[in-house]
Amino acid sequence: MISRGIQANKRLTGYLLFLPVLLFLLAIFIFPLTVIIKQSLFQIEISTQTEQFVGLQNYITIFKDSLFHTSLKNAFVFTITTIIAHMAIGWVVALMLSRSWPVEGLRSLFKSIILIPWIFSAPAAALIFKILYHPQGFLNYFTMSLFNTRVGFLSDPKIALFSVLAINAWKDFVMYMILILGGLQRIPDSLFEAAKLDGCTGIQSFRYVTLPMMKYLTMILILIDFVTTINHFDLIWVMTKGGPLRSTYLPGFLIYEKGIQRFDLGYATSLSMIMVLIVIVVMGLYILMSKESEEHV
Amino acid sequence: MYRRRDVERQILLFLGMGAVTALFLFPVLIALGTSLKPMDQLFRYPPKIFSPTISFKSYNILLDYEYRRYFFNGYFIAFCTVGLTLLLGIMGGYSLSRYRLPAKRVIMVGILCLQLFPGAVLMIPIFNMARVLGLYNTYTALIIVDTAFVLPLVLWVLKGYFDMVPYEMEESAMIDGSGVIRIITQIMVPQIKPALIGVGLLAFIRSWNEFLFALILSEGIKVAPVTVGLARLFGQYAIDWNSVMALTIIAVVPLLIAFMVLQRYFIEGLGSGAIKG
Repeated sequence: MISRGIQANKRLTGYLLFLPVLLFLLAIFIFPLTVIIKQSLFQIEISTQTEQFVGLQNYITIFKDSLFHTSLKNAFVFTITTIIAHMAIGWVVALMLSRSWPVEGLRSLFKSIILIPWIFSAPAAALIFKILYHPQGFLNYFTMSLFNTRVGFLSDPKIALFSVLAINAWKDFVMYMILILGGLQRIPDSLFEAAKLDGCTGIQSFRYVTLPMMKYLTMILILIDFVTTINHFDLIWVMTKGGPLRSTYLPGFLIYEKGIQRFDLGYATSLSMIMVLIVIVVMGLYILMSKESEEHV
Repeated sequence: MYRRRDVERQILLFLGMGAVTALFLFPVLIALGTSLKPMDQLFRYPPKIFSPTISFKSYNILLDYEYRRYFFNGYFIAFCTVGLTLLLGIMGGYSLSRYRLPAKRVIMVGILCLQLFPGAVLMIPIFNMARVLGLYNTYTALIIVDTAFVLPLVLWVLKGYFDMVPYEMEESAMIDGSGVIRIITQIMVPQIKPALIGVGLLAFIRSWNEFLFALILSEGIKVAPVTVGLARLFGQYAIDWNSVMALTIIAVVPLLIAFMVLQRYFIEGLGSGAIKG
């Protein structure tokens, strides 16, 4: 009897500890989500405080809107190239840092210095690269001396998206590099020794040991990068506001413009909902992947 | 004695990492160099990283009340975010680790998903909620939002660390009649101190660098942090580039120092907790 009393008491303590956290998360994530779902089905008139049920009308409007098409196309180009850049730089740097360096101190020095770009905020990074991309800045000086031509890094609609992509790659590859490095260091040394005994060369042990061991981690990182980047906002917004000629315009900007600046809540929430659905699909994959990677590692 | 192969490999690795590091630090050097240029040497052609005469005049921008205010706001919001994150993170992480909560698996997977939830899709309802609750343009709103977006990751990491603390330590305290708050503060917290430092640093950096919600939830300079202050410079016609770069340098130096001192905890904590689903 006494022990059951303690059990019940203990359970109550657990609930009491977790409740504030749960309420907090519900208030910031789940409640707003239900608001989005509801408002996306209504036509809301801010001035008269009236709302009228319109079914999927807002969604139909969005799918017919060419601005939505542009933003989604930009978002996919931006996301896929960003993922490629993050993974390529992340892998190369992580591979170099995962080797045993004869002078260990040098490795830790590089490992700390290479993290520096990540500490800059998006607006700070945007300002710094604005100088680099300046018509009289360093990059144009290089292109002038090498190819005798100036590049409108931020003014040429064909190039602008890739110019901001470079900033994003510069700033955010660090997270992926750290996680890849962690994965590489978790591969047991015994596997490499066994591969060596079987006569594998360095490249072969990379192909038959490292890659299979890192497959799931890499796929999970790609999914994480996808969800984060497809909903990107801060860096590009500060840098270009979506220009020139909407060539860097993303869905997040459309939500901001419609919802915050023009109070078109129906449009903005429906678009949010579309982006949430994309996120949910990728998260489903993410959960499946995490489960599988648990079984495999 | 080093073998020849070792020496070769060392040189290759050094050159490789040296090249990558130089490339990635080049923009940082530009920022530093520009902040130290006198006004008349800003956009000389050909461009130089550092001008022959160095001037610290641009750092006088900190004497400007507006910019001091941005910095004060940024620090205030970031420190409060760290405090609230640690409080909720310890409560949540401990209860997830030690108690049988209903639907715990669902909760854990849910938290894992929230960790990836992008802010941009929630900006409209959060903006409206803040307006309705009278929290628009207040520190409270920004602290709550910043905490919310870092909390899911923190819960995962801290639960993992609490799991590693052996039960015996608490049991003996429980027999002594210690309450749960005492057990957490006196026994558990000291055990996972490295993890707490790591997630605290993460919360600080995320909050200090957060931009989207700071943009939509603030007005004027009352609560706007440094990120918003920097972004507002983009709208101006004539930009004093050296002052702007001085600001970005000042904004990053405290983080850089904290990061260099504490990064050991940070990498350990993240590396083991962030991905492990």
